[in-house]
Amino acid sequence: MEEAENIEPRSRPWNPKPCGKFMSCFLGVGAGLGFGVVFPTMLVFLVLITSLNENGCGWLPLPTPVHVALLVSVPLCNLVAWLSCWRGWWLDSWVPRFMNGFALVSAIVFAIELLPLTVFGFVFCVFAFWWFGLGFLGLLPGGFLYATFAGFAIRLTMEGRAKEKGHGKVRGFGIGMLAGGAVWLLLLSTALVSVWGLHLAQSKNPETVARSVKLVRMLGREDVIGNVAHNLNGNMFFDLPTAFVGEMVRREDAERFYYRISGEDAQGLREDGGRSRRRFGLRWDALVGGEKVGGVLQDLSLKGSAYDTKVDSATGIGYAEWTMVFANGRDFGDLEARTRIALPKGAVVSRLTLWVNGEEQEAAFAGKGAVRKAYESVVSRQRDPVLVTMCGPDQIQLQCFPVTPKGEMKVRLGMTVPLAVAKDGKSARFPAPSMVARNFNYDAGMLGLPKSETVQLEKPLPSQVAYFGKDDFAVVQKKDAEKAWRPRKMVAVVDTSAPMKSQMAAVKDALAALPADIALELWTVDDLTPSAPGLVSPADDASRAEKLAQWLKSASCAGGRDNVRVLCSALEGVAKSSEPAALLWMHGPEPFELEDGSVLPQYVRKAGEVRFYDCQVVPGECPASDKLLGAVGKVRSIAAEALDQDVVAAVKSICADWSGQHRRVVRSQVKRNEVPSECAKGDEHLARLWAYGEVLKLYREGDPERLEKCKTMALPWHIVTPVTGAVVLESKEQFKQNGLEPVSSSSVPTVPEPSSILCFVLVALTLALVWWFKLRKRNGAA
Amino acid sequence: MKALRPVSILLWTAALWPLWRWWFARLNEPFDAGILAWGTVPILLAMLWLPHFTSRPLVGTVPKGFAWKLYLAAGGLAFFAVARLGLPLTLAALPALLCGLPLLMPEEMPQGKVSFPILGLAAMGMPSLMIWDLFLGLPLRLVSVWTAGKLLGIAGFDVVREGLALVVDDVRVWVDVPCAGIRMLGMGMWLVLVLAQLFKLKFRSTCGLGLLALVALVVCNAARVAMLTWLIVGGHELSMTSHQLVGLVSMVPGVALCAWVACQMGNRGRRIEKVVESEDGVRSGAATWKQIVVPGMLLVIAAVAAMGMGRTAVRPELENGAFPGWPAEFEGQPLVADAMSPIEMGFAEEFPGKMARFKCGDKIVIMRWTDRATHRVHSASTCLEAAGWKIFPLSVVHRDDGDWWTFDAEKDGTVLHVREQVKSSTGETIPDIPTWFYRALLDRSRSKWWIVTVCSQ
Repeated sequence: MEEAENIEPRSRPWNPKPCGKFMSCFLGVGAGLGFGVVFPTMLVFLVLITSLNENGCGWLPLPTPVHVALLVSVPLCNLVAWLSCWRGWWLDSWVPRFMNGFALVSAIVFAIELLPLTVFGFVFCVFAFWWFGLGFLGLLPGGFLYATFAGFAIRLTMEGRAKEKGHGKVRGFGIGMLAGGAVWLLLLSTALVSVWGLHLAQSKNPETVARSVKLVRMLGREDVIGNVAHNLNGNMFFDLPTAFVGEMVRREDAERFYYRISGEDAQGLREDGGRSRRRFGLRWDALVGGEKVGGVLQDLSLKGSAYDTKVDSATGIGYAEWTMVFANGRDFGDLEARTRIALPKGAVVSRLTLWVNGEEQEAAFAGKGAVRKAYESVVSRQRDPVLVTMCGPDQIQLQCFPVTPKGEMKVRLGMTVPLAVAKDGKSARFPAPSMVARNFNYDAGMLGLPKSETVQLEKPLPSQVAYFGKDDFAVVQKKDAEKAWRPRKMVAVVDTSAPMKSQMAAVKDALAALPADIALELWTVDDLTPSAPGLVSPADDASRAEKLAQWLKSASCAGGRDNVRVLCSALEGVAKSSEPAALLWMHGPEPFELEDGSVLPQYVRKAGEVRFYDCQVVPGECPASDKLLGAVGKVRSIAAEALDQDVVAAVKSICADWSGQHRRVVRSQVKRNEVPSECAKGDEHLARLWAYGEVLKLYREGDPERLEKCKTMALPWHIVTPVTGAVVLESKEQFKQNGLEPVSSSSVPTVPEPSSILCFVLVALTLALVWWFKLRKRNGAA
Repeated sequence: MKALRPVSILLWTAALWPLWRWWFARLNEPFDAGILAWGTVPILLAMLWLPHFTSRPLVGTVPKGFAWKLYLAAGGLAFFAVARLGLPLTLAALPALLCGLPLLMPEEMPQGKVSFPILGLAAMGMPSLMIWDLFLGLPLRLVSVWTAGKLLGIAGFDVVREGLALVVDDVRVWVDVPCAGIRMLGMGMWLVLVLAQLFKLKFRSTCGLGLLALVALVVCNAARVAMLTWLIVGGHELSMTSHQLVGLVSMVPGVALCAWVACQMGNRGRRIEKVVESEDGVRSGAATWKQIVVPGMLLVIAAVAAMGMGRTAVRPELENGAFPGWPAEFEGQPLVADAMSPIEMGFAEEFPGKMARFKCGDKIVIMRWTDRATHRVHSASTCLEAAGWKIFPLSVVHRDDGDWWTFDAEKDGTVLHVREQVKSSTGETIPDIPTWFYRALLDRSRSKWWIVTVCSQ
């Protein structure tokens, strides 16, 4: 019995006797666990759950993993400190004190952050009791406020118990607070660096801008710039400067800088609450009826796909129909499906069908502006249209509306595709289109998606084929033998924005696969536009592979970079060159235009006989690439090949065009009686490809006469060209309703505060009341 | 020696003569009751309170502690003398005013040597509403929008914050300049200062109470914004009276909380006071010539310097050729130069830029051009309010040429419809002045700005 009494009660719960200091016991032990650990833990769970669910930011935005760690650290550290008090563990150690101090700082910061909610929660709690007689939920947002008080209480209890045990003064609490404060200060300083970088980035000096980008990438935080650019409900206390500075910089500047830092378009994310939603897709679609595709919508999906092909052996032309079924999984709210499709080289859209009430409705083909107007007018009335327009070289945009809640929308896209017939004439490669951008989900392994294939031709391709139309003219297709055009120099412009990271090795391989007798000049798109190519390899350079490997090592992909300026510099250089040259632009998406790409067609035209190959290797929207539509006759897109197969195959396909004796297919219009009698008969698709080729040759932006001719040429053949589009509407009347009313000026309501005089009256009344109470109290005391 | 106190007060008053003159000039202008309440009541209260505490006559022996008051007043006046060269009169004079006020206070006050609530009331007494609007307008609106957004989010609305607007169910509600809660905050501050003086609170308690008022009234304003947004989203068309009532109701909890906390602090302070009272009782003796002569001389020098500087504040020069000239037409109609009123001319003298008034059809167009962030640009509503017009804020209007802030001004049965916009040389448009101020302040692209006000009947 005596032995038992001599045992040091080190591991025994604290039970001070007599418990005269009831408050100290209650605050230090009971309340310490409840308010310091249990309440904050519940709140932490709630915050984490609301942050991670599809609704995004939740109560308390947690911009970085460090914020999450600090949040979790509060109940954890308090638990250790509380155990130290309760069980008497580590009372002589600095560890629990350190953790107590560390947690206290974070608790204070989170408590301030949640203060408005805490106040609201208290009010809610009062009302809940009033109405329902219970309701503690409102107390929850105050979890960190209680943790703050509990932290102090635990500290006092811990010191009291240590004193009782005869331990001397043990340090650690202050250091813990300092450490906690330092972490928060560090987070704040990263936010400040980001804001400073944003401020610097408004400079007109490109070097300063590039420096600011590097600074923020190295020491700053993307989420801070994102908050400014998105103009979202940022975090007032964590990143106070951003909330303030956000109003000081122009939105465009912040968006531009955000794109430079992250490679993402702020506008695309803003509509639906920001980056955290990206995992789940967007909930709102602010781009309905517009020309942009935007981000993927949460509940919109490509439910079904069917891809049928048909080959005309007489002409070597294929016709493909891609049927797509879009489904809206929502309970309410119509959605618009939008996608950009890279067509195989030389292919043209020649049919568009929409299923309306189970019946197929064919498209009307008209001028691009007219069909878009018609589409927008019908979209604004929430009726069924589908629209296809050309948005870039060999690239079309398809959009249809509305995919009704829990409903589907079925469309069919018909494409006329020139096949790459093998030298023996017995087989041909039927290339497939690829989706470059989309705003719906789809399963990449889904059956029925387009795939390129090799088809057997029933008979060898005849040397001449003709299509006889209704009028006096015919279109004849001939095979002309001529020496292939071959460049002496290849100028490659390689984008190094963040999305390209995964493709850089393939890009290097593709460049290495270029014929050795073609000189290579490589321009790397960087934060600061280079004034000269980064790599020059003359023809028959034995060290090219080594140079490319070195280049790959030095190239770092980050953020979003300006391709347009580098392309212009490269095109200027090519224009000065007298030898035949090709320019290969290998790039990823560039959703934000750092520089307006409208200048590109002019530069392409000035570059003379240069052949421009646009090779988008990573899917996504690229407005600069779209602008090349202005020089569509001189630009060839190999994006479909690069996305459907890989970039090496795409580059090899253009190299194949340059090699040996090439048998070129020529299509021309002749009078019916001039067609040779031995000529085989082809179908209408032959005429479509001829018309498309003629439109591309004739097309010139800003030349109304040429544009009108293009339109006249394209419309009879029902093809989608730079000047014409296809639209399906529900009724004939709708086709006529193209005129949109100008957007009327709208007004935004405001919420002015009460006038000075009313505030003054309220204050005067309050003062009078206080005075009256004071007097009453004094009289009572007397 | 006995006349030291009145002489030093006279010197201080004389050195601050430009401030008094400006203040009385403001009072001479036609103004509305709001501005009267805002500016004059606090300072009148402060002035009334001072004699209440002055237990000894102005003329008489000065105690030892009077020397530091002289140093303080001299420091304030020296600052005033120097700061007037670059700062606006009110900003330069404010420290001098506060540093000199202890001269008027007795040696022993319930709160110690200086009553900070009285200093606060005096500071608030400067007719500085437009400055509050300019400097605090944007931060307060940001906080209000953010908090109101959170509150509406909790209430189950899908809220998107777009700058200073809340978008709920496709309805956009803009928190513009009159929504900032400046008046609510000002009156709240005024209340806590009066209460702090009433309960004889010391410096720390006064600051704590001020902080509480700041938080409480900002939250109240956010609740007001949330409530009004909710009503607007619900399709209710609210009259101005409804806006006022909702504002008043939402202000009540904040004001009540401040009053209650002040009462509690006052009661606690009284208990402590009773305990300390018995220990107190050490009174300082009379000051000697040696103690007074140096600060006295410094005060004289500082006062003379302050008076000698006169109106030397230099109007900042514009860059040569920076002003592009007045446009010949506005919105398709020719602009005809119109004479400015005396008040406008006085304002134009101080304005760091160009200012002109035009007739444009049946409209009056006032154009201001500047190349810097300046506090002298303020909303036309402030000028009109000061000229006795009653302001009825309307909405922000989207037009092809950008967003315009609009309001109606009414006086003697005449109603003016006014719209206002700031436009940069790069084409950017901003509908409100406080947002422009900060943007111009941090602008690195050295934009030039046009502030255009269009009035029509």
